[in-house]
Amino acid sequence: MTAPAEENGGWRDLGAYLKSAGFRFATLFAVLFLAAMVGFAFMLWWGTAGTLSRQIDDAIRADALGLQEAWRSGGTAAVVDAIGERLAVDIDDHAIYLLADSAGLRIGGNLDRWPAVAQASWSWSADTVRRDGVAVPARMHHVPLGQGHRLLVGRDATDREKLRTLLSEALLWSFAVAVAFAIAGAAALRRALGERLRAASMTAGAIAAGDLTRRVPLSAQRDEFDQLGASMNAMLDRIDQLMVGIKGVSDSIAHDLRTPIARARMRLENALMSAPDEETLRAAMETTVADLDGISRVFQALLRIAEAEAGARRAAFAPFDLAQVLADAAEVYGALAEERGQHLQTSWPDKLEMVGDRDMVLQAIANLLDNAVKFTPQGGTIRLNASAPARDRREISVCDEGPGLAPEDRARAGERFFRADPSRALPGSGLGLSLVKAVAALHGGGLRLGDAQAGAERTGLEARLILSSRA
Amino acid sequence: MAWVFALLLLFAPSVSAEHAAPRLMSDSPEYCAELLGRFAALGPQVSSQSRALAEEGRKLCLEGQSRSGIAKLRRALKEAQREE
Ligand SMILES: Nc1ncnc2c1ncn2[C@@H]1O[C@H](COP(=O)(O)OP(=O)(O)OP(=O)(O)O)[C@@H](O)[C@H]1O
Ligand SMILES: [Mg+2]
Repeated sequence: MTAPAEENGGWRDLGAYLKSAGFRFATLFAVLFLAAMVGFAFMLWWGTAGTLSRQIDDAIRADALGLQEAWRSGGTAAVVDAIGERLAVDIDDHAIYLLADSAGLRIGGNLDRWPAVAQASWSWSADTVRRDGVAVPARMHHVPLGQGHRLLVGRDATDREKLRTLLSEALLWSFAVAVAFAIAGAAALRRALGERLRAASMTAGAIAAGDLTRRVPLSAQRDEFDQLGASMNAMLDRIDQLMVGIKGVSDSIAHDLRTPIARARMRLENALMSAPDEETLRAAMETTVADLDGISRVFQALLRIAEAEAGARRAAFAPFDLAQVLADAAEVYGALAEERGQHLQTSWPDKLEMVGDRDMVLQAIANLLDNAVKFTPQGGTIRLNASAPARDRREISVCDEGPGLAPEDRARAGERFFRADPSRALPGSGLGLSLVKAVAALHGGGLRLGDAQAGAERTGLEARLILSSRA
Repeated sequence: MAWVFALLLLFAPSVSAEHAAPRLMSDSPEYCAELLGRFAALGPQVSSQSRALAEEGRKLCLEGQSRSGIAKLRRALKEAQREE
């Protein structure tokens, strides 16, 4: 690799680093931390050095007011006297006074001449004065007195300067420590963020590489990252479920439709090769057409189940009256039952409002009734009942007087193509209950199978379809 | 970063070594004398405590330690003022 290219890569890395969320969070953290630090320093300064400064200024101001009073009552002499008295008892040795005439010459006080910086009238200044040849800081206030006379009142500010120096040193040090902490904290924050997100991104990478079984590991902290991880996992589970569904359909097509297709082909081939007359050939072709119709029905059923399982139809949910749907189903299957010498008993409330996929629900009820009619012997009774046991729950039950289902078969009855052994002789492809189950799941409910008349010789089957009435 | 330097400047003690700075005269032997004069003017009714302080101050002034002497004298004067 050439040097410029390397450098280019380095810059790009730096750019990516600066743009990363981790870096931004870390910077925010550092800035907030330092802002808090500056605020703290400001308060500390204001409360200590600031207070001292204000106290000094207050004392100077009071002093100056007193001397102005003396000037008004007794002129120069009174001021000189007052200054002398004040200086005489100034144990701290902090006071500075100077009374000067219009020419700037000293009349009284302990300063030998007017300081150069204190020229403007009625103002404050910070300056130095010499004490024993050493320069010391001083805070001074100068006031014009009238007739060109000027008064200067001040205080030795050495203590205040010492405090300031001490404070600023301490603050500088703590500022340096704070900067170090901010940088270290920011780095730790960035690292922690990266660490927490690594699990999710590694899982996503593994899944992108084809390993669909991987899930985001969750920590015991149950924080935002775990919530993100959990929803990622939920999404992956859902995708997995859909994949299984699709795989189920393709497997079913591959395995369970091969036989009927092969059978139809055989029948045609045999008829073609060895049919003695046109009549036999025609009969064979008619049977094959019926077979192919059956295959296409199975196809349709499989696709419907896949559709219901995918949950894609949830978008098409709409409010409808379940009572109406039940009436439609009962009309068709009532006639069918009548034909077979059976009797259909129905009962449900006048109105059973719910939100869902009307066509799917009708199909599910039809499948249950189809089974009941198929398995109930002649003269038997089929009961179709529906109710609303709770505000957002609808229950539809179909009871028949057939042979019923053994408990171990009930669990498998919803599997695609499952048919219990005793019913192999009857027509059917074993997809009816699969669709019922898928529709129930689509509507947030389930399918329960049980005995219609427990203890009777013919137990019959009760199929209870439970739906949630809300989307 | 500029504000850090501004802060440094703000915190830095404002000492300017100006030679023409005015001089304080309240630590000179002359001022010693002035304070002694003030004390003497107070008359005989000052307490022995302040008199002792004044005496100490006078000695220190004579020894050339004007500042300490002045401090003592000031305390003597303050003491006397307080007694009045
Ligand atoms: N009412 C019932 N009484 C007894 N057994 C039943 C009843 N309903 C379903 N079963 C059993 O469950 C199996 C699966 O039923 P399902 O409705 O899924 O398939 P099918 O009725 O055989 O075929 P299809 O409904 O696809 O025409 C049936 O083959 C039968 O063994
Ligand atoms: Mg069926």
